[in-house]
Amino acid sequence: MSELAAVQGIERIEDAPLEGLLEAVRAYRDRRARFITATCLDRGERFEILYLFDEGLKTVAVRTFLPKGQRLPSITGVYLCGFLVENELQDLFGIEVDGLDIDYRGKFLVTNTFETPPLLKQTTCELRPTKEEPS
Amino acid sequence: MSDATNVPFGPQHPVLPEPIQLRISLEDENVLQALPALGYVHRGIEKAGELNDFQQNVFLVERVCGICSSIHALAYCLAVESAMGLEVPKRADYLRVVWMELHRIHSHLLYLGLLAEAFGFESMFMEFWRIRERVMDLLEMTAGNRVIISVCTIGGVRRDIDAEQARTIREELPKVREEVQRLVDALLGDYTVKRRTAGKGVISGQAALDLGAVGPTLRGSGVAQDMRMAGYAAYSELQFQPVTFPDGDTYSRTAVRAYEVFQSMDLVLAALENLPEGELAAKFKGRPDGAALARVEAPRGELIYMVVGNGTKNLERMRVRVPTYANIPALLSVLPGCEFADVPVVTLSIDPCISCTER
Amino acid sequence: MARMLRSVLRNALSKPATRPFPEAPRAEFEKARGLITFDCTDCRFCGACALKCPTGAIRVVREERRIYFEPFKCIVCGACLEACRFGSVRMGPERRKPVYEKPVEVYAKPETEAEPKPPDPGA
Repeated sequence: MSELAAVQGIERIEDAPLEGLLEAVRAYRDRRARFITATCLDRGERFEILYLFDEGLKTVAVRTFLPKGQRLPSITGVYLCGFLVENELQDLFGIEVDGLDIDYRGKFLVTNTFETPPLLKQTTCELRPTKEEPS
Repeated sequence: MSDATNVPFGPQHPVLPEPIQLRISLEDENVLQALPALGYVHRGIEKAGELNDFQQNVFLVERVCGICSSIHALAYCLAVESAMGLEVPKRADYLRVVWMELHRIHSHLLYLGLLAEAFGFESMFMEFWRIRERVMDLLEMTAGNRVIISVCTIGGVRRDIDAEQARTIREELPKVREEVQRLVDALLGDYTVKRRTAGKGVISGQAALDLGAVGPTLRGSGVAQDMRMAGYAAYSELQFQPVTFPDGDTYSRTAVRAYEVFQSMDLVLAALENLPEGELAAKFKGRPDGAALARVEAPRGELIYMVVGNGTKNLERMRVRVPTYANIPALLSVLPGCEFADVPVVTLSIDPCISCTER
Repeated sequence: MARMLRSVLRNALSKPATRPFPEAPRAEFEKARGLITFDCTDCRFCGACALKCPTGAIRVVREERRIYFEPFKCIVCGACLEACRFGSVRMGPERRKPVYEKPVEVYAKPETEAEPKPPDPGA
């Protein structure tokens, strides 16, 4: 259960509890920061989710931890453009997002060809299928 | 919505050679709503980036995009270098600028050609692509390939530009510039072109910022934001001003790209002029341990790579945020209210690259 | 009208911008990335090229002292070229021609076999 200590290139990381996430994001909205994207990391028991914002060419981040199995509140009410990345979280990490404006229900990028969501650490796939040995 | 006609636009469409479907609801000829359907070309590159060796990833990320390929490699290398605390030699920084700007020129010429084709100006399309070929020849001469030039490596660059090649580039670019100038004058000054593009798909600067738009889409709305101003590689030592146009319509976005071609040519020439002597790549030992984020300006806008290393040869996480991904919400917000005949032109005006978007 | 006439005359009299392709192919640039071949004279079969290859196109079998190379997996990145310390990997400017089958090329030391074995059809 590790977490990111510091990220080169991100000015500051602000920790927000899950229930305080929307307020933290709204504070950036009020400061007219541009929403860049969200990044999720699979940390075993929980997910580490970073919401990245741009403030005058500087990158700042809001971080929250989401225990697996819990639902994530959607930020689309604050930043509408977050719908793409939240649909992506649903697809690739199997996170269920509450209150998503445009919800593709886990069929945004991938269809259900995987048993577990592809970007979880437990999902393994073979990079190069081994060919028949040439004799 | 009961009277609305639903039209699927794409993934197979004569003017949109991109695997995206826009589900468009129409009332008469006017668009009420547009929703994207993606997922045709998801390749799982972020997962592959976790399974591959971090050095082999350089070649993998180059294949995320078919047009701005080497800028992806640059962003990835910058991220890994900053995670490892690696210092890049000065000459490599300048050479990176030369190649990235040549890349931007050919990408913007491709866009200008495609836009001309989208409203039926076929001879303009061919003229732009004929000139683009000369830029591609410069890339092939110096890097060995036309598009996927594989020049960046962790710590520097893999190829050098010798004096002879630098001379060829210096001689060739003014000629290309002259020809592009002639075409851009014809494209931007033409009455019919203005009727097809001016005032179509308008987005204000504030709305573009709120929707997270990047690159020429943002600069076409009058917001002077260019990641090159942050000064990665050698951009901090080269003089340039971001190109902006105030109107926020298709015409402005096109004009931004057209003038960025000239700006890029100036940057290439300035970088070649100031090319310092020295090594091409820094030697490094060890593996990335720690996280880093790199933001660079790709032809379509701001490109972000975030790498999280864990001290092994595989990365813990590789996150890619491509420019088109950020521009899709802006596109969806400008489409309602457009006429259906303008949808192809407005869609092309963000220069969509869907295979990037889905990775 | 006069401007148009000038363009018409220029276009009629100037050379075409394109080449007649199959008859007159373009000369390759000196530094173009093309055909990868192996010269096993100095090769120690250390496998550095196979390790660096991002697509797994190269397989070095040390016991057999052979290199199996799948040219159609190769993306011509040149990583093997940089990895080789003995100069056994060669890159020429010519491009690979289209073929009907995707053969696996086998390279071995010239002492053991006079020439690189032709692609094995049973592979």
